[in-house]
Amino acid sequence: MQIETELHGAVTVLKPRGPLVTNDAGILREMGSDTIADSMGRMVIDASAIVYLDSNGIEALLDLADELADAGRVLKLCGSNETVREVLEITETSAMFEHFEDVPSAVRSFL
Amino acid sequence: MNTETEPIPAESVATSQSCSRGIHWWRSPIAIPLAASVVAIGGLTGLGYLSLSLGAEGWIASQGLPISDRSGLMAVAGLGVALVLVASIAAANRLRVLLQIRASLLSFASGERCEGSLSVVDLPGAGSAWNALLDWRQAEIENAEAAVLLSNTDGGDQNNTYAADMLWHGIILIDEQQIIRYANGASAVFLRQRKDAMLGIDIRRVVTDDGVIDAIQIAVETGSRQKRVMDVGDASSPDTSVLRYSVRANGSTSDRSILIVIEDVTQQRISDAVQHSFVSQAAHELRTPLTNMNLYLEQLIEDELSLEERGSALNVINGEISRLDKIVCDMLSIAEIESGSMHANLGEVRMQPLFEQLEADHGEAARQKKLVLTLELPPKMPVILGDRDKINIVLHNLVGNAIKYTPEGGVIRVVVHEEGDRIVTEVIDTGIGISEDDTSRVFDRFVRVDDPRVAKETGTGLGLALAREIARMHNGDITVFSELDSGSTFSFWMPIVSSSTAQAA
Repeated sequence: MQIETELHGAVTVLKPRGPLVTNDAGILREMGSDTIADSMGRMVIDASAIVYLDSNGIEALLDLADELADAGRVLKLCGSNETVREVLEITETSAMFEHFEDVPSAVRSFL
Repeated sequence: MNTETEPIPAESVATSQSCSRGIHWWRSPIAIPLAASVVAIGGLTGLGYLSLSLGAEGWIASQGLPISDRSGLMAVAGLGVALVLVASIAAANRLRVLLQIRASLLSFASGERCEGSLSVVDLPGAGSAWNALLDWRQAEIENAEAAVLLSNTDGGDQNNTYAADMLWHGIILIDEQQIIRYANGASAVFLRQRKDAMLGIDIRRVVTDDGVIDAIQIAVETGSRQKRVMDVGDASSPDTSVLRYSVRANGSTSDRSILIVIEDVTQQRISDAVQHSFVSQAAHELRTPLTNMNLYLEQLIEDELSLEERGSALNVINGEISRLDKIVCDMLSIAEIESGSMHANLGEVRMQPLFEQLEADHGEAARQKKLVLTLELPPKMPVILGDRDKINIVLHNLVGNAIKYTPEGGVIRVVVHEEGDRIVTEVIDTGIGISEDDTSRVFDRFVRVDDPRVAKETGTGLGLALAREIARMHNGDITVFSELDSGSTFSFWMPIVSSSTAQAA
């Protein structure tokens, strides 16, 4: 899985490309965890290029959300497509995240 | 906050009042009866002597007593009257304070807890004693609050700790020895520590900034509740965060604690800096064409130009007005995108006519510069869902830049192809190229590469920033690969989403 990293001010935006499944989920978890430590929790996941996700993908997102919750923050997802949103709704995990339409609005929420 | 009435320990009250009693006898409980007695005795004595002296003056005179004896009696009577007056004033003052205390007690009974409302006129005696009692009560309440927070670290009620852990401001509570008694999760993240490992250690082991340490030391020594705020870190460095520390003391002299609140203000600092930089750059960009216009207008007004020169001057002014118009439009577009108020007017976009128009618009400029501009299009171009005008802006910016920065005799290729579910447009030129350091900056606003070959061309430094924002609005992007003096390749891609697919989604 290709994960692009971009810095918006002090906020790091991770953009995984492709389906978030099996081993790819582990890559995102590891990269996200490092980013949380480096950026003191100022992280956004741009989900616009995540085509779909399986249980591993959900677990990876929840792990990152838990890690951020220890610092009083909530994992911010943006640009999720209909499929990803539905999966999160059905599994009742959607409320564990903050959802934004696009990257700029997610980044602005750190102000 | 606990504002319920609490029993005040008798020994505490005695302690707080003992000093006053030793120094000021009138604060004694017997002071009022004593004063009343003095008033009564003095008054009666004075009146007695007065009446006696007035009524018996005739009798005294008839008895043939000397004048000096009569004067003595009159002096005694006057002294009595004065004593009555002084005692009456003192009693009235004391009575006023007592009435205020009574009113304060009644307010307290009816639920008033504000110290300011319950305090009375601070006169020596009962007034100041009452106010001291209120001060003592307020201090006890604050100490109790601090104690509740401290007790949570020993496994007490976890509710407050849980609440503090949900905050994204770091909260640290230390004691007088500067030992950490409580630290929430956010503080551990900010100080790059494990939360559990922070408890029981000296704050100076995790906070090393001298300013913060000094503020903590002052708070410990003085017990000042005045908040000291300082920012630590440098926002200009990408690896550094800016943390705002607020330090203040809490509790009494005997049981003092220091509260440290840490706030991450890095993003705010960067945002401020970007705004400041944007305004400066915008002012600079606007001033340049205005200066040119001003210069030529002065010459026109002075009427020193020939007809040909006047035409040339008007052309320059016209060009600068166009430049100003473009700068303002680009700035507005970027501002709209960043504020989220710009929306793409989505519709079916036929790409073939877009590229035909692109060639028609830029062909002449390329020919004038002796450039070869070729379009390599696939036999069948997809119809995509997007905003036609905005996609046009991107294509014109990329091809316009290529023409601008490719020397005479160069070649510019516009290659369009499909890659999976994307349509990719590559603008490949044999121009001046971009150095590796500048490649990452070319999409920033108002950035123009520091190269004399770039400086001689007009430009706003906003075109590529706007193009990339538009590409991202369409869930696409623009990337660049370039080599200095060899040329550049800008790749603009967008997902191929047909209108039927989009409607189904």
